[in-house]
Amino acid sequence: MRVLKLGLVQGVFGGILGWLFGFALVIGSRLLLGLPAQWNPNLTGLAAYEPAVVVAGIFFVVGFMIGVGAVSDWLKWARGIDTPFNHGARIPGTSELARYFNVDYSHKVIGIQYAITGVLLLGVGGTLAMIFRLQLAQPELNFVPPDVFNTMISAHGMIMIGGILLGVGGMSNYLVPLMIGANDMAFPRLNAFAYWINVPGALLLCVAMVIGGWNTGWTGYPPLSAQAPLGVQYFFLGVFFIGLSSILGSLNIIVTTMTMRSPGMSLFRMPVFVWSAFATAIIQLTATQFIGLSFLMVLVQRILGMGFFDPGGPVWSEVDKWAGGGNPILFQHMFWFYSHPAVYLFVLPGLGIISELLPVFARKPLFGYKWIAMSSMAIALVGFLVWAHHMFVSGMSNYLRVPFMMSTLLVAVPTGVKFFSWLGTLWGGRIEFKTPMLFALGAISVFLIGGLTGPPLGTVATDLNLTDTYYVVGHFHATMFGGFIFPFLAALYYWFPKATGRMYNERLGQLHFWLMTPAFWVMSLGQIFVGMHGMRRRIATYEVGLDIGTAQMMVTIAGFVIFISVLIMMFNLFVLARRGQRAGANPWRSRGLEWQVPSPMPEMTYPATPVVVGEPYDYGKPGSIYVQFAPAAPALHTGASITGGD
Amino acid sequence: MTAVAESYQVQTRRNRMGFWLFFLSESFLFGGLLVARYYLWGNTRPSMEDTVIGPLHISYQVIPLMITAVLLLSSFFMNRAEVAIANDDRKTFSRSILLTVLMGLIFLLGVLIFEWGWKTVDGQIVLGRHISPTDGVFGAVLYGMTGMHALHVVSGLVLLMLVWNLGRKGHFSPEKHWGVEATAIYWHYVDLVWVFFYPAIYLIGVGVHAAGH
Amino acid sequence: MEHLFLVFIALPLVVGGAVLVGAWLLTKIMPGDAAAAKAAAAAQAAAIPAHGPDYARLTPRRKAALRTGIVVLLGLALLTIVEFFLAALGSTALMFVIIILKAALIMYFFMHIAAVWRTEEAH
Repeated sequence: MRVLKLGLVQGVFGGILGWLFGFALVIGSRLLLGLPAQWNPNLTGLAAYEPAVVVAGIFFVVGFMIGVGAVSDWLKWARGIDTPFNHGARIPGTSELARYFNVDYSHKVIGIQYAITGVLLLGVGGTLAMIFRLQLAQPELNFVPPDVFNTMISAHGMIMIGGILLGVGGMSNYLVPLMIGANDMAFPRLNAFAYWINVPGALLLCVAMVIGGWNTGWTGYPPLSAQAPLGVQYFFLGVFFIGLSSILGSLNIIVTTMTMRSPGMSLFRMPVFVWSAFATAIIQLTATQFIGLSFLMVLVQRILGMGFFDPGGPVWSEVDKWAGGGNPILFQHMFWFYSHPAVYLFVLPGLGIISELLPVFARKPLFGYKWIAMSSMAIALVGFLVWAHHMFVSGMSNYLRVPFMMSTLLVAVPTGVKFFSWLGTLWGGRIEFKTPMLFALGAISVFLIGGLTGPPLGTVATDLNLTDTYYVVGHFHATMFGGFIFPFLAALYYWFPKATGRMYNERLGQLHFWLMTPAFWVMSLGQIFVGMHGMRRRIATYEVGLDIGTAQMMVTIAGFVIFISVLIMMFNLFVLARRGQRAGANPWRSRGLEWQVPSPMPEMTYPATPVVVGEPYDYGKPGSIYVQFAPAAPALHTGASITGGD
Repeated sequence: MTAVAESYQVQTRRNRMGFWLFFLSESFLFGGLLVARYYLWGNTRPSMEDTVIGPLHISYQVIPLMITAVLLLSSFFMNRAEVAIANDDRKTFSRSILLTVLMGLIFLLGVLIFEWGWKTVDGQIVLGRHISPTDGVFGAVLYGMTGMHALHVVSGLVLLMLVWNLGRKGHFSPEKHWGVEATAIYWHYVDLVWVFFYPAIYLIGVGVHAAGH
Repeated sequence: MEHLFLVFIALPLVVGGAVLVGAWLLTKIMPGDAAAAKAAAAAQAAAIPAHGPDYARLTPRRKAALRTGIVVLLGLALLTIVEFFLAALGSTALMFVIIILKAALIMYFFMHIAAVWRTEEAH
């Protein structure tokens, strides 16, 4: 029965109630108005009640958030009841594990919630990939029907993106307060809200697969998405709510970074990861609105008939009523205005992790700290100016092509700065090849593949041939693995001892790396190869005559090897490490703030205020100090404070 | 369990920064709608000059001007409420908030009834006196922009009623009234958005008539 | 339905009244402890001045703030009317200037954007 008291369970329960309420509300008001309950009598099942299903989906999220308790404090404030902010388990008497299934305001708990949910979502997306990779292993196989295949690739895309966003949220929520010496985020309640709204969002994405699926790919372009099965609506809603989480979470990161740094930590003494998290947050805060809006516009076009993207026959001026005039190209502009910067927001935290780890394991100062910090900001800002390179063949105005080609190639400059800084940091270092370092180095190699395959796609002449082929798939997966997955795994291994106090099994970690990295090279280069030989994206099978069966088989095998290697990691971190040897406070001899306190960290990470007195990455320089701890202020024990509620 | 509470000033400063960042984010949402408007309408807009309404023969074009004026006036009263609570004058605060709410409601009804032509015909809700959401891009963008704005007006009204209730119970003081300040800047933000939307929908571009009128 | 214009005047009053009554009912229901709330309300009723703002009692600073509010409102109203008639001339560029001006007025005087950079609570 104690399971029923968990926030997660109550949230799901509240969500179901909310769904039923929303559905009944719409159908009930229709019946009251004397209209038939079904919108479209030609359809069967839920599809006939599409607007009611959409409203019910929104109420599902509302019900979930109320049920889980993420808005309880705010509802009390609205009635004038103050709620004190407490660190520690919010429901007294619950176990430490139960905190992760309830609303908890500690950024350390929320960060781990984000990361675990992210890994789960990545696992779901990966499993989908395994299934449809089997279909593609040989030409003209047919055990996944084409429409199911399309639903699966679409779901793979968006669920993976959701997983990446959660992983990014996990890294920034867990690490940013630790690295700047704060005990929590600026708005802990908002932080919990921003995490929990991901859960119903992700559930909607998964439900979308079973209520009809959607065959549009992850991009959901109209007019196809305006005609797709019902599932596309929950796909829109799921993305919308995950996007809301991005916006609120990033707002929190920006305020935390701006106002809660330790004394002495000027902007250019922040760890570089904080810089990249900050740059990421700027993108998330602003651009995310555009994907939400573009999806919302298709959503209302479907249920209210508002023809934003529906050319719908002749334009108004030539006929005798206001009809048509919509333009699907507008959707692509709005969609990519988010979705291209989104790629940078996926990779920037990862690139920050690489820059963070290299000096620790090379025992050398980070080469060109200021350039690295500024290159993150530059990538974020230039990232806003490149979106239309996804649309070279969309039918947009031709004169837009060359300017967008130039701005796209401009992104290579700050990215190159990062690469040279990494090389400069490694140069002449005494490198320790521990698992996190291996993954950081693997990330560089994989990101290099992704980076070098980019310019041919950004250049108009070559893109006209490569667009919508598997070459794009290969390029994209290389950037995502190099920019996010590998650094994320490095971060998991690197901060695992800090978070749990236990060491993972180094040998299994190395095995994970040596299985995954070569397999990924094969997979990525194989995808690029089949793309250049005529394999298109988003098709359920291909002809024997393309003569790419062998390469496809290798890609599939490599994919399975990656999958198995990730299972090994899960076994290592979640099962073996329970009995792992105790890690000290600072197993990697890092200079970072969070490594100067015991592992696992106390509830209030910094009872004594850390004071930054030196440069963050002066490894190997004798006598250099980054941080000192002020003697614990007596005020701390009487309940005054370091962090606050929102 | 360690109780922690930041000083009110420090937390208010953070709240203020967070709220402005939220506005920055929201301005991308409304900016996206403006992008859609300029992309799809270009230098045109649905004409309303010739359609007259009511016994006074007022052109449809005047109604947006009127509701815009009402919204501006409500912003003034909101400002007055904030000044009042900062000076511990709860009576003026309460009255100003209620006036703000009233004007917000007039604005909302102006949109719902006159702009959207929301009425019941034969027991069915019908939208669209001069234009309906299904009238191509003109209807879609007009209803999209006014609808998204109206959604923010409604949430602003809810916030206003909440702070009115809290203020009535003596919850705010000249030193501690972040709730009022937040509601005030939110309400002004709603007004600010309308400053951009009103000309974009009703003034800029050549009025195009729906043939058949 | 040609009498909508009258409805425009009447409905807000009706609906506004209904919302006020609803809000009053809501506040009757909402407080957890009715007796305590009533006592608190009674205590506060005593504290609220019987009359509205006695203008003579206003502090100079508050007077200045009110005056600013009125001037800004008049400015915004004037700009809106200019905007309305500019539309007839079709001068889009000038209209954009007015929009920016109005936005700046609202952000500076009503929304106190400068307060974001201020460290102490000053008003």
